[in-house]
Amino acid sequence: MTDDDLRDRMRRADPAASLRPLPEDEARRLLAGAAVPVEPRFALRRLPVLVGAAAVVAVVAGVLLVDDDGNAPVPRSEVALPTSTRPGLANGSGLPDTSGGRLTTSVAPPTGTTTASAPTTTSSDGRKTTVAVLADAPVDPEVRCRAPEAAVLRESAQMAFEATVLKIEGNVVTLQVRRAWLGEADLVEVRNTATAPVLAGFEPETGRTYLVAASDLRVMGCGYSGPDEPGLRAVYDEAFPGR
Amino acid sequence: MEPRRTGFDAVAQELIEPLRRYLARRTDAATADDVLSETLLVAWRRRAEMPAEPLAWAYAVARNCLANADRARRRQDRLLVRIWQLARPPEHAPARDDPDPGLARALARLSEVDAELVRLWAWEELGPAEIALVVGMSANAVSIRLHRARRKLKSLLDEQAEGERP
Repeated sequence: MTDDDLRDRMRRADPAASLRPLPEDEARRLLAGAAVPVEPRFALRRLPVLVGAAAVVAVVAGVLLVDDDGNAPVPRSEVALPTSTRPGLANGSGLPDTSGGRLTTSVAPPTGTTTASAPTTTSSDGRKTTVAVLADAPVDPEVRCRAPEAAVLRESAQMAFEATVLKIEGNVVTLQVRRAWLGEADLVEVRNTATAPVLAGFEPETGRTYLVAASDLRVMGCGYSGPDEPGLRAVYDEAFPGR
Repeated sequence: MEPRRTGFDAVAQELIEPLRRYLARRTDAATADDVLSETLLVAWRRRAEMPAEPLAWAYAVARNCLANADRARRRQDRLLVRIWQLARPPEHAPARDDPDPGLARALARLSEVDAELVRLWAWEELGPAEIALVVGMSANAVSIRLHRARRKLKSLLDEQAEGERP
């Protein structure tokens, strides 16, 4: 047996021979640098704390933030802390509709660091519309994430829904909820801290369907929200079976 | 707007498939997925060290991540054994759908390092200098050891063939 014969035999037994290439969306998600810092409570016990001599790695909120200079890492601050600590979405105050049929929320548009608000309910012609206002932030290329995990989604999200983009105005994306795994909302406004509308790191397209999770009224980044694609949907289905 | 493509992302995109194959050859599918994520994360953290030809370097990162995962699993197995008195399956038991169980048996009779040198040569198609980067040996040592490992593997396969002859 020559070396070539041996190599041929090894190749015929290659366990990776039948491996199909990773779908593009999954490869993209693996490499996704998109991240909105989310609650640290679920991340700290899931990710190893990595401390190196050259760079200190901080485990914050399900993402690893690394300072290139080796300085102490500082969590990115593009996303303001939520001003509301209300968990999840309940129907709003139920105050009489003063909108004249227009869709309104009872909260003022976010200014400064106020980027998230609790859901409110308006009624028009006997129909109730629950509106949630979520905050989102631009993608931070310095933040990298693990692939989304169903267990993390289940523990962290207080809202999880499938929704279609109704309209995009300024930095506000309005979503029509088609299906909610968690929380209640008919319409969701996602307000971005950037001047351009961004939804979980993607340019939103009117009519396109997205899967969106939110924790404390902030859109969960790190691949937990994004266009409705099989990989992400599988994470939602696993996190919320039978819902 | 797609997330901004950094230089690292462009390079890592090219590494994903070779890394997936590398891991698929050495562990089960679930562990391979986990270790791939971990490998990319570690590669990104250490991106300043990434050479211009990053493949062997990336294999070395994956190898370390896989070794860590294996250690964690062995710890878990030991705990399970203690609790349930269950025996682990043999390390190198060929999979039921192994297309060449004879080859798997012969590889299992090499030392783990020698078997890995042969795999890196045959499956990843690396030369001695690249293999050296992956396993942390000198290229010269790899050349000598790989030569011996191949010779031993061929001899084991020949023995099997002799034994199977009527």
